[in-house]
Amino acid sequence: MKRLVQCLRFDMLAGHRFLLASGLLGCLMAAFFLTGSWVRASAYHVEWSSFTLGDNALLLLGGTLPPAASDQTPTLFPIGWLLLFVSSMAAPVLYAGRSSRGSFAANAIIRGGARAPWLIAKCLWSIIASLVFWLAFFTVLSGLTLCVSGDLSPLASRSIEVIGLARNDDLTQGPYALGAFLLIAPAVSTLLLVPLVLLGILANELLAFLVGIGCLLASVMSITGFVPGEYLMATRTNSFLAHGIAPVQALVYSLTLSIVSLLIGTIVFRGKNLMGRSETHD
Amino acid sequence: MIELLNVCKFIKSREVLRDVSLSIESGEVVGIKGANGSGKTMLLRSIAGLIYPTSGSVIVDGVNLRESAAFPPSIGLLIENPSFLPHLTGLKNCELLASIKDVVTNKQISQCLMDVGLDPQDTRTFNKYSLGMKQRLGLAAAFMEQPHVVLLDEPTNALDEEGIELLSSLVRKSRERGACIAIASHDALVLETIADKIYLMKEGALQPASSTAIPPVDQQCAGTQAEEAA
Repeated sequence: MKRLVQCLRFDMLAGHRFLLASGLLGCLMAAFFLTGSWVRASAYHVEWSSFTLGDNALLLLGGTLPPAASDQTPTLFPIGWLLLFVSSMAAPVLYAGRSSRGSFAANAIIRGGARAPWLIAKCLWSIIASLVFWLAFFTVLSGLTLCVSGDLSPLASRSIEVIGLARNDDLTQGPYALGAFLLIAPAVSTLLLVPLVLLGILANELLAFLVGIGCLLASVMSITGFVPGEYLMATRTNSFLAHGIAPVQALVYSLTLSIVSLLIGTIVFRGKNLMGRSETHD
Repeated sequence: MIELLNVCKFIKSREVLRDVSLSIESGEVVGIKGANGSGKTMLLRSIAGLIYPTSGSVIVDGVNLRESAAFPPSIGLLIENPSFLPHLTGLKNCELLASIKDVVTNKQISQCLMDVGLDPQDTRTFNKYSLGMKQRLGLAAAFMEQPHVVLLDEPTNALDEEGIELLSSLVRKSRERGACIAIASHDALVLETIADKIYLMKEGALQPASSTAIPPVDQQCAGTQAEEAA
């Protein structure tokens, strides 16, 4: 435990720039994509001032509905949603990967005294960085909502039906109870970072990003309940779909995935040759 | 004390360490010379616990590194080209590393920087350092906690005459306080000045510097073959 605390304290000091960057990204993502979403809403003649906090959050965290068999409407690719979650991964994956290579990393890990606490500390740091991202995100989101509509209700209004984020035949609740899921989506994405961070450390950051982006892309057309990206789309929840994902299901899935990947990652890392950047890896 | 007993290491079916046995007593400086790619760095990495041998044992201060999956309890390391956080000064980088174990004061760290010829008050960040300064900072990081085990890989890279003198002084002081020191270098002259014993590393095999014979392949890693037969 003492070693874990020592390693985590080191990461908080060494990675403080990445923590700040994560917060800044959260602010920028909220501002940029919310503005873009409002512009999109204008095309449907929906007033920005009618959007609640829940509506605005849904614009960014909604993702897209799964393609319906009888629906000829083309699926609009949720580029904002994709970029939002990719940017939430950026600082944690980059810091964890970069800080695990080179002689500085070697010096840090041998001072840590053991491999497992060092690795777990990296995962904990990544969780903290992700929480910083989402805290900044929701702060800016709330601030902008307060300025434009003044309605900080976490419930979504009927406006979302107009802009195609829900279908009448799928509605299960109204006005839609989003509050729990809006908090759970960031929690799920934070937990799902753990396997990506471990991949970044054990392989490289690029592979971690590619896997993360691949999962997000696959989730756009999928409704299996298996692809991790589906748990990050608010419109795939049982607030909107008859057989949608329950918030508890999302948390259990992501927590299980994180714990299993951490166990496997720790076992692999304990036997791994720490070779440095310039030498051959086995 | 450092003990390597019949250490073999394969990486991607290439044998990088061949039946290496070595012991370094407290207060002893061992030099390891050899050409590039001979396995010197791999040897130091195995002592540091950064890589585990395929067979054989590495025991450092009573800790069998392969069994415990840990690192030597008190170690200073200079391996590869020294890298630090580019946006921090030399002093801040060393303080950051020292914060992990928290066994030295900032005053001691500053003194160590002066011992390697760097100014602790220098406001330049690491990314503005010359190669020689970076090497000196790497040495400072290796020695600042007065570790019991010191592993230096090509420590004279980019050092001028003054830097080499300072390095020799640091090694002498560490020896006097009973540290086990291993220095890998292709610079035979420096090793002859500093080291108590010198070994030659050739194609993964270690032998005293006066001997030029390499054990035949079929007699190497005898321990591994015996284990496999059993």
